[in-house]
Amino acid sequence: MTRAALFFGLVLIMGIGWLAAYVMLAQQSPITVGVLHSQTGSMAIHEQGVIDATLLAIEHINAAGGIQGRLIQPVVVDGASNPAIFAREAERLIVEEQVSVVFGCWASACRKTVRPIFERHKHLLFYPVQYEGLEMSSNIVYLGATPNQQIIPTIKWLMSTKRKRLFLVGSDYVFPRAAHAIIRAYVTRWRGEIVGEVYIPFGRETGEGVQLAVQQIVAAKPDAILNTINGQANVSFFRALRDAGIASDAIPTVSFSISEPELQHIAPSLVQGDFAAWNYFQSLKTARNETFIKEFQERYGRNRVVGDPMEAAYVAVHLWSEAVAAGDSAEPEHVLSQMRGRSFSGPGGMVYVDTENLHTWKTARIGQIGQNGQFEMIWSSETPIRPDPYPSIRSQKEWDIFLKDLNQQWNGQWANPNPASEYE
Amino acid sequence: MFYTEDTLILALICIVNETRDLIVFSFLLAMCKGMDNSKRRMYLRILFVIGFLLSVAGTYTLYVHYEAVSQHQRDEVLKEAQRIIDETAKDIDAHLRPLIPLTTALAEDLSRQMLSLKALESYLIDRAKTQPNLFGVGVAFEPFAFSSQIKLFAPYLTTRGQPSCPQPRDGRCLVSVDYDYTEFAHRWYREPFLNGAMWNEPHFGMANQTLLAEYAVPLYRGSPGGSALEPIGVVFANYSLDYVRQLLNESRISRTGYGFLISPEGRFLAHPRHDFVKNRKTIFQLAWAKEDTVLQSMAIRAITGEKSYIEHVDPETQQEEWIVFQPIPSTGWALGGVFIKEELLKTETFRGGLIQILLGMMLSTIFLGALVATLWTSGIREVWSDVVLVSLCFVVAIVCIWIIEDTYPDHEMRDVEVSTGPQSFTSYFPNGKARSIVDESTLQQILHSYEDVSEEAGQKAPLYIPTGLFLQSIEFSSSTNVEVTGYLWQTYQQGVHKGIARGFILPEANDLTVELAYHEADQNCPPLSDAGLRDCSELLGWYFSGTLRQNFAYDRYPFDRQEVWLRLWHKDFARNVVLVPDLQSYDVMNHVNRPGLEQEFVLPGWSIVGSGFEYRLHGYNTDFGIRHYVGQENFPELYFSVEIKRDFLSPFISKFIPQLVIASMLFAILLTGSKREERATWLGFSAQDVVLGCAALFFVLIFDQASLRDKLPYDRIMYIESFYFILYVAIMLVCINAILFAVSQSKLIQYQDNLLLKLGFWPVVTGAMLMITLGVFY
Repeated sequence: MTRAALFFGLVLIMGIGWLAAYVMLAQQSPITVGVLHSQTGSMAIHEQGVIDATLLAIEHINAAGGIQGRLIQPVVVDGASNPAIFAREAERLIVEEQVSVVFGCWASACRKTVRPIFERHKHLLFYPVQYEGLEMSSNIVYLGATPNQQIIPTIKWLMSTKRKRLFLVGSDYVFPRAAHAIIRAYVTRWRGEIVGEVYIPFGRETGEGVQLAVQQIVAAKPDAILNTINGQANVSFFRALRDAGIASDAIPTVSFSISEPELQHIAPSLVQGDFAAWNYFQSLKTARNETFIKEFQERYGRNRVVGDPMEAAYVAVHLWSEAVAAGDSAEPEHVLSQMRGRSFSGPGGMVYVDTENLHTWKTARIGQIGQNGQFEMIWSSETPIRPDPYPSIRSQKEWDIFLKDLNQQWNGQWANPNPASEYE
Repeated sequence: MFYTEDTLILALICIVNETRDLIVFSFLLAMCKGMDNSKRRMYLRILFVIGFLLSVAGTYTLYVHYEAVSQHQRDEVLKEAQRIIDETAKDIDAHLRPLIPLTTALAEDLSRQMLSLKALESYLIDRAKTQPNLFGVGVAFEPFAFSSQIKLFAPYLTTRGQPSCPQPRDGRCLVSVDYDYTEFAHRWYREPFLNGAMWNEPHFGMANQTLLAEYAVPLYRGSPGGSALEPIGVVFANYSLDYVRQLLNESRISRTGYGFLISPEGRFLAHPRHDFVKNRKTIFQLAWAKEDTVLQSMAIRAITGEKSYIEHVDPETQQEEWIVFQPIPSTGWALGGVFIKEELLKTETFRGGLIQILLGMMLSTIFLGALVATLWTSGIREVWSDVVLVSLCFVVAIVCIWIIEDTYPDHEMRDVEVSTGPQSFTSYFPNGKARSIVDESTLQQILHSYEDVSEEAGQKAPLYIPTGLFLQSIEFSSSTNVEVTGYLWQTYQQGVHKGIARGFILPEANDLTVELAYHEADQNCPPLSDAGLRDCSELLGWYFSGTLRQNFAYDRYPFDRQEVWLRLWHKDFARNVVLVPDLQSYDVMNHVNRPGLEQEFVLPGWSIVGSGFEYRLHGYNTDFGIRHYVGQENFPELYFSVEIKRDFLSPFISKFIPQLVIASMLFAILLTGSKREERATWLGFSAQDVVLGCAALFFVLIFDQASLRDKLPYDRIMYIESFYFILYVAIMLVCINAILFAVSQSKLIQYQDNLLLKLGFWPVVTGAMLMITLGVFY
C-alpha cells in the first residue's frame, strides 16, 4: 500500500510539473515588434502597402502558433514622410515600447536618419526597399536591392538593346544622387552616353520642377529615360512627358521606384509600354507567389496589388521569425547572429542573407507595364546577384566622401532642403 | 576499419565492465555460502542491485560506443569525400592554372611592342605549342587599335575543331573573329575592361561552335594593368569545356558519387547532365525549380569561395546525400561532389551496435526483475518468477532483433560477377556491385565512361537504345522460378539507330512470349515485317510474359529479402548496343517510389521494398561464335530489379505459433512428471506415457519441417529450421529425463520432484533460440 501510494504520488507530482511547464509556456508574453512607416504625407502611397504586407506576415506567423509559442504583437507608428519624425519614433519604439525589432523606412533619407539610433542602441532594423547602397550597418538587414542588383543590370539590359543615350531624372535626395553617379560611371565605361541629368524637389506632392525636366528631355532626345523620382511627383512627371509628345515606344522610361501600388495612382495610358526594374513583380508565375497574392487580397481586398518592397517586407518578417526560432531568442544581438547565411523561399523566389554585409542575394528583373497596371516580366538575371553595397567603380572611402559632401551641401540632411531656386 | 583509437578504448571499457561484473558476482556468491536464509537474501539483493547498476553502466557504455562508432563512420566517410574533392580540386587547378601565365605574358609582350601581322601569327603559334591541351589563343583589338586601316582585328589560333580550316598553321588553324565583338552582348570582350584579368563566364565560341572556359587579360598601350592607359584590346586563351569535363571524369569522385563544376555566377561548367552545360543552366535554376533553399545556400557559399559541405535531402527523390564543395583557386570556380549516404554508410555497424545495446538492456531488466522478485515474493515463487522473467526477456530480445534486422537489413546480398578493366569505368561498380540508376547524372557519367573504354578498345562508339519497363505481375511458381508479365518499350531515332534490329532478349526467361503491343512511327517507317535495314524514328512497346529462373538465398527465412531481376539484352547484342533506362518515362526514379511497377502491385506473402534500373558488369568466357562480339568483357548490362521483403505474418502463423504450441505441450508433459503421491495419482505419470507423448510431438514437428523443405528446397539450413532442431533436442531431453526420473536416484534429478528441469526448460529453449538468432543476424 505504501509503495503504491509512493508510486502514485510520484506520478501526480510529475503530472503537475508537466502541466505547470505547459501553462508557463503557453502564457509566455508576446514579442513586440515595431512597424515604422509613413501613413501620412507624400510617401504614404508607397508605404501603406508595406505596412499591410508586414502585418500579413505577422498574422500568418501568429496563426501558425507564433514563434515557439510566443505570439508577435506589432506596434505600428507613423513616420509622416519626415525623416525627423522617423528618428523620433524609432527612438520611442526602442526605448519606450521596448520592441525586439523594427520593420521600417522607405526613403533613404529616413533610413540614414534612423541608422545612428539603431547603432547606438545596438538594435535591429529590417529595411525593405531598393536603395543606392553605399552603406553597410551591422544593425540593419537590407532586404531591398543594392545598385548592382537593380540599377547596373538595367543599364546592361539597355545597352544590350542598343539604347545607349540615356537621360537621368530623379527626386533631389540621396538615393537618386548616388544612383545617378553610379549609372553615369557604368554608362561611360560601356560606351554609352548620359545626355542629361535633372532633379526635382523631394517630398512635394505638387509637380514642381517636372516641366523643366521634361523640356530638357525633349531637347536631349535620349534613347531612354532612367527615372528615380519617388512619391506623388511621378504622376505629374508622366503626364508632362506624354503632354510633351514623348511616347513610351519611342523613348521608354525605366523607373526604379514605381511598383504595382504606385501604378494604381497613375493612369495606365500614361505609363503603358514603359519599364520598371525590380526584384519582384506581382505577375510572377509561381505557386508560392499565387498563394501569397491570394492571401493578401483576401485580407485587404481584391483590388489591392503587391509590389517589390511589400514582398520584401513580408519576407523580412519571416526571415526574422526563423532567426528568432533558430537562436531561441528575440534579442537583437542573438537574432543578428542567426541572420547571416539564412535562406528563405518567398513569393519572389529564394533569398539569402549575405554573411558579410547583411544584404540579400536577389534576382534582378525588368518588367514592362501593361494595360492592366501590371508588369509583364521581360528579362531576369539567370542567377541571384550577390549584393555589393559599394560599386567597384570607386573605393568605399571615395563613396563615403561623396556622401559626406552631399550631406554637407544639404546642411546635414539627406535631401536637398532648399531646391526652389533650381527649379523655378 | 572504423575501430580507431577512440572506439577501441570504448570497447575496452565494455570488456572491463563485464569482467568486473563477473568478479563481483563470484565474490558475492562465495560470500553467500553457509549463510542463514535472511542474510543470504540480503546479500542476494545486494548482488542484484550491483548487477543492475553494472549492467546499466555497461549498456550506457555500449550506447556511447555505438554513437561514437556511428559518428566515426559518418566522419570517416565524409572525410574521405572531402579528401577526394580536395584532391580533384588541386588536380583541376594544376591543369587550368598554366593558362594564366600564358595569357598574362602575351598581354605584357603585346603591350610593350605592337607586332606585325606575320609576327603576331608566329607568336601565337609559338605560345600555343607550350600548352598541349589548349583549345585556342587570340587577341581582339579595339577599333583601329591594331592599324588605322583596319577597324576590327581579332586573330584567333584554334587548336582543334576546324574541319575546313582556311589558314592551317602547323596543325592548328588561324581564323579571324568575324563579328563585331565590341558590341555590348559579348561579355568575353567587355568584362575584362571592367574587372581586369579574369576567367570569363563560359561562352559559346563562335569560331569553333564550342563551349569555352576562357581566361582574358585587358591589353593597354604601354603596360597592362594601368587603368589610366589607353585600352587597345583583350588577350584571351581558352580550354574547351569538354576538356574540363574530362578532368572531372578522371577524378575519384565518380566512384562514390558524381562531381560538378560551377562558375562564379553558378553556371554549370561540368556536370554529368550535359544538357545543363550545353544550355548554360545554373545551379540556382535547379534549386529554384525544387524550392530547395539548402541547395541555394550551398551554391552561394560555394561561389563565394567557401570550402565546406552540407547534408542534403533531394526534395524529389528523398535521397540523402552529402554535397562537398570547395573553390578551384586559380579560376574562382567551385567544385562540388555529391555523395549518396546510403551507398557509403554500412548498415552492419548500426545493426551490430543496436543488438549489443539490446542485450545490455535485457541483462539490466533481468537484474531489476530479480531484485523486485526478492522484494515481493520468496521461496519457490521467487524462483519461478525469475524463470518467467528470464524467458520473457529472451523472447523480447529475439523479437527486437527481428525488428532491428527489418530496419537495418543486410545489403550485401547480391552476388554479382566481379570484373576487372580500366579503372575509370569499373570504378563505378565497386567490388563488382550493381550500380543503380536513379538520375540522369549517374547514367550519363557511366555512359561517358563506357564511351572512353570503347574508344580505347578500338570499338565502334556505343549505340544507346532508351528502354523502359513496366511490370504488371510477379509470382513465385517455385523457390527458384518467378513468373513475370509486363510491358517493355524502346525508342529508336532516325539516323542514330540505322540498321539496328528492333527487339530485346531476356536471357534468363523460359517460355517467353512477346507480342507487339503498340507501335508509333514516322511516316517514312517501313512496316515492321520489312526485313530491310530500318532507319526511322519509332517507339515500340511489347507485352511479355515468361518464367525467370533465379537463385535466391533463403538462409534468413522468414526474414529474407530477395531481388527479382530481369537482365535485358538488345536483340543485336553482338554489336556495341547498350540499353539505357528511359528515365524520362518515369515520374520519380527513386528506388522506394517503385518506378516501373503497378501501384496496386500485389505479390502475396511479400512486400515490395523498391524497384529500379541498374547496370552490372558482365564478362563471358566465350564470344558466342561471333568474332566481333564486343560484350565479352566489362559490358554494362541493364537490369530491372525489384527488391522484395517477405511478409512475416504468414510464416509466423504457420510456423512459429505451432512451434510455440509444441514447446508448451512439451513443457506440459514435463510438468506431469511427479512422484508425490497425491499428484502422481492425479496426473498418472509414467515414463512410457512421456515417451509416447514426445514421439507424437516429434512426428508433428518433423512433418512440419518436411513441408517447409518441400516448399523451399534449399541446400543450406534456414534460420527457422534451427528452431526445429532446438525442439528436437528438447523432446529428446524430456524423454531421457522421464526415464531417469523413473529409474535413477540421482539427487539432481529427484531434487524437489524433478524441479530443476522444469525450471530450466523455458530459459534453455528460449536462450538457445536467442543464441541462434544472434548467430544469424548479428
